[in-house]
Amino acid sequence: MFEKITRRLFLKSSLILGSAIVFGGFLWNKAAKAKVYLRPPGAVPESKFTGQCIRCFICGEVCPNKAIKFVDIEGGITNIGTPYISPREQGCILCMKCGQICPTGALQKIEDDFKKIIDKVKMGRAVVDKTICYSYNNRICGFCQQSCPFPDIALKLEVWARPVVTDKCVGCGLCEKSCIQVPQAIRVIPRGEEHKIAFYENYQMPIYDEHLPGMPPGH
Amino acid sequence: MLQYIRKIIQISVIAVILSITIMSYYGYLLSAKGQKDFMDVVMEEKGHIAGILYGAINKVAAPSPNAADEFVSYIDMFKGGVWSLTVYGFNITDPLAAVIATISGKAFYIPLAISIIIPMVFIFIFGRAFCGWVCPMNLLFELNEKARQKLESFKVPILDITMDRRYKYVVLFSMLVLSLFGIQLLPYILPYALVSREIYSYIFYTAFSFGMVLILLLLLFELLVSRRGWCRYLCPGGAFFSLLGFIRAVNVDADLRNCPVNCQICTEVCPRGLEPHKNIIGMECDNCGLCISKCPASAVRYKFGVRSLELGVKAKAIIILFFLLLTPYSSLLTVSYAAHAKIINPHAGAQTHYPQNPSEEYISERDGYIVNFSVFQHKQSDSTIRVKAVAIVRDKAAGKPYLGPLKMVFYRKSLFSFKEDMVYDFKKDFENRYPFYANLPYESDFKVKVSFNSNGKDIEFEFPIRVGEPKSNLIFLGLISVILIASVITIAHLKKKQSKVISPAG
Repeated sequence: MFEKITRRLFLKSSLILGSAIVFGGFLWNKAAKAKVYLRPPGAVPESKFTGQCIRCFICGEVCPNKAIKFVDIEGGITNIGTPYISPREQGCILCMKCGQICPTGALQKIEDDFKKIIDKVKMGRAVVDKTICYSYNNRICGFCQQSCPFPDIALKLEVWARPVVTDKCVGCGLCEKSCIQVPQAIRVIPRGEEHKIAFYENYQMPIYDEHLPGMPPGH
Repeated sequence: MLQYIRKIIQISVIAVILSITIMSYYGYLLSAKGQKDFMDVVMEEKGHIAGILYGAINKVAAPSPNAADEFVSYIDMFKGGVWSLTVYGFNITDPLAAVIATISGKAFYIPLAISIIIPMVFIFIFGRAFCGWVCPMNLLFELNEKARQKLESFKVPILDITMDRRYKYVVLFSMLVLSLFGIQLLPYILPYALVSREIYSYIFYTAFSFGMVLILLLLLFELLVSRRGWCRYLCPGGAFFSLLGFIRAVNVDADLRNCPVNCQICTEVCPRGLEPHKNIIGMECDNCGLCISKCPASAVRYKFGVRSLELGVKAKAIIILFFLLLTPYSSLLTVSYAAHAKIINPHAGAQTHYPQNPSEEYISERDGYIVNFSVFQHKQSDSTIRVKAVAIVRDKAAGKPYLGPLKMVFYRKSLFSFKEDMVYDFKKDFENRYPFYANLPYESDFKVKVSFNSNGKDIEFEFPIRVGEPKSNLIFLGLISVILIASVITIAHLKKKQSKVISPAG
């Protein structure tokens, strides 16, 4: 029942097994699509975060808004099982419970305090897609500003209720959740993907467009 | 008696994980919806098992809104599972998790170091006792072993591959090497970490994730291929606890002078594959006490008839590789959370009409044009699903969106290829002018071609999308598992015949 394996065979096979695991891990890592996720508030920088997170799912259990979701197998080996926020489904209400309970420090403890949250939390930054935003296209909406936890600090409204995001934005995603346009005209770009901000902000519809149904040019 | 206590502890561990997760979900329901609204939701779900369960908890835990608030803040102190547990605000983490997190995160976190003190003390006293007494997966594996014995008693030919027990240290070592490069493989491989996570994802999302497939594969592996193969030869968690428990206070010791002649019952029952009848126990013993309770001094007979089928190294390697290769297919069984209808989810999911969240999003750039392509799914009832495909085209050079005519062609997946299914031809005077919508009535895999003409040049973009939960993948996985089981049985049969032919005694 207990067969004896010679030393040489064991060393040989264990070398094969070990290298198969290591190289398999690297290959899986390479093959995965590089996607940047919006992390819960207080997350350490991304390269450290995926290492420090032990995938215990406690942050997801404690989240009172069920905003924290977990990456499934499509996220590749470095991301799989880590927490992320999909703001269109549920935005973060900045209760800071997840950081307080995280056992490994992957999510740092931040006090549930208005000023400290603005200073320390930086999940990402919201960006307005001017091509499809109602307020930039002859209609008036302003829903995003109403849902913002820091109105007029992180998100200002200009004439015709046009939203303008400032650098104070923490990236909680409540604006993206509340946007009435489909697809969403305001979205949170997670940190590490700042180059995408210009892409959304630079394209704008001509403001007075004769093709707009039921509305003469210049109202 | 000892074994009853052990079983009770094992079952209560699973009960604790389950109740913590259910209570967490209950706390979420309360804080998201408020007491009164919550009860309305529960009433709506009358007859549904979840509705009954949460209604009952609500009656006991939070009779009034004030009590509800207190209860929520109270259960916030109890979170987690076997991998990491928070009890009354105090955290206990698996030492292996802490080691891996420290290596791969390259950061030392003092609360994490404090949280492993209790498990470390436990290990120095009881050694590898976690495996035998706490590990929730071990309970499943033990039940699995009972099933294996049943199969054997029905003379079903199953394999029993034995390997070297030292392989698990190799697995552990290579995992640690991987974590040096920031790749954490352990939390997805260790089944006891997976168990609590699968419980979480079932209770919170009513869907299992890929880990369930891994657990089922391991159970199948131990059932058909190798008796207690994972725990004995491969589990890196067991290897870690064995190494730490090298010196320990509580040991199992066999007094060979009292042994009956030719009795090997203790060795036969040992789940870790040790040999107490020769007093070869060592650091891998998990102090489960099975050999103690089964020793014939208490006159218990426990018959095993495990056949050891001799296989070459190559055949073993092929079978194990087959299992390893199968795990990537596990993604086929899982369905995306977004597509799932969720039970009582106050903010969003309870309203199954929640089409705002894109199920797929693509940004693609070609010939100076950028296309944002997103798909929105709207489940109207159990049978019908309405899907909107939206394309937003931007002209990079002009800095403006493209508003000319646009064509979307949908290719629906048949068994092996894509067939043209629907054509949407958007003219410039399309009523909403912007963005371009298309509606799809059925569930399947699609390939979408978005094409338009600019300055006499045809520009084409292509996106793969998945609508609903196509059934074909499940059929595919079922096919794979049938082939797997069939091949294992045939290999076993062939080898049995072969050994009969070769050995003159048989």
